[in-house]
Amino acid sequence: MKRGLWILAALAMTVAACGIAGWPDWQDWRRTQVLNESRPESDMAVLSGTEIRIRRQAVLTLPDLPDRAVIWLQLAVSPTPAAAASLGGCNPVLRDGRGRRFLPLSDELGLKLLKILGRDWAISCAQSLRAADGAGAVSDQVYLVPVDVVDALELEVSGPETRPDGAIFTLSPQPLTLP
Amino acid sequence: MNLVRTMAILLFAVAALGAMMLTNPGRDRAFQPMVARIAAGDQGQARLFSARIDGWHLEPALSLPSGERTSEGVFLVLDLTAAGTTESTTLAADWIGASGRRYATTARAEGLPRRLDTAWMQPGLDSELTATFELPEDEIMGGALLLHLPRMPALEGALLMAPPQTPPAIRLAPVSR
Repeated sequence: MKRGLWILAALAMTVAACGIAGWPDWQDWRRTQVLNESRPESDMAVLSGTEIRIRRQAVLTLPDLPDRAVIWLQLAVSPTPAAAASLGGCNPVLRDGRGRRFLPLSDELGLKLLKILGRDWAISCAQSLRAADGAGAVSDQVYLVPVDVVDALELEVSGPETRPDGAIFTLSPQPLTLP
Repeated sequence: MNLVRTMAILLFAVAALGAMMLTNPGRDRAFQPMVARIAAGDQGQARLFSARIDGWHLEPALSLPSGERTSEGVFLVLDLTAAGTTESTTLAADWIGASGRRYATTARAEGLPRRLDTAWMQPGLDSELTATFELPEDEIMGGALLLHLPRMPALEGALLMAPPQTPPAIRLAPVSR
């Protein structure tokens, strides 16, 4: 009986030690994952007090590279002053039906594409949505994706301060013809 | 008899503890990236990227839009095909020379198109890229290409890729790009 109590006490201490040691890691992991997905039915969602709207979504195919497509998203964010910093540093990420994640292009190709699209790339090609000062902001993002996933794309928007909450938009980009 | 048994158990415990302490990897070793060795011509696959060496050659000088770059050594240029697997990612490359020295891609190749160190790999999309190293010529044969995520995150995958078995051709005249 006495030996059983000692074993139980040791087990309880082990569980407690694991819990105490693992709690910060669990909290850190939660901040990297979108576990609570909200799926708006329109092009607008409110996330942690910030209104996020997809103003434009377009797909551009490249004649020389038929296996890939460019997705152009124009996003507007209007945070309340209290939520101004909640989306700072966030990445709007595209996901396909196979769990693959596409980040906005921030390299030379991305700059060229935004220029072709007529956007001011020096201001627009930031991966983060600029929502830090409480004023509304518009952000252009371009992505390079396989052409066969264009019809199955979703946009995930979240930030370090909003996660585990995130907004998931179903996309239906319209074909874009360059002038 | 009991004393002998107790001593034997204690001795075994001390020996087991000693063996554990001697073989316990330090933090630097325990949290290294996991490097997979890839044979010449094979496609390598890590968690976040896949890559293949398509060819290699030497250039005594690089012809860039901003002018010609010469070297006391040579420029080793590797042609690669790489893709992301589950997430967009960037890559970095090092050449592990025959002596074991490690060479990063040269910053003097700025302006060359399709540079590995400035490109993003997208999931499911092959990208044709080049990695250019400036190094002594005797570091090339017997060396290998190490492809990894920038800053070598702990426990991530990296590929140590053997170059093609044929020696790299020398392009005597700078190639216009």
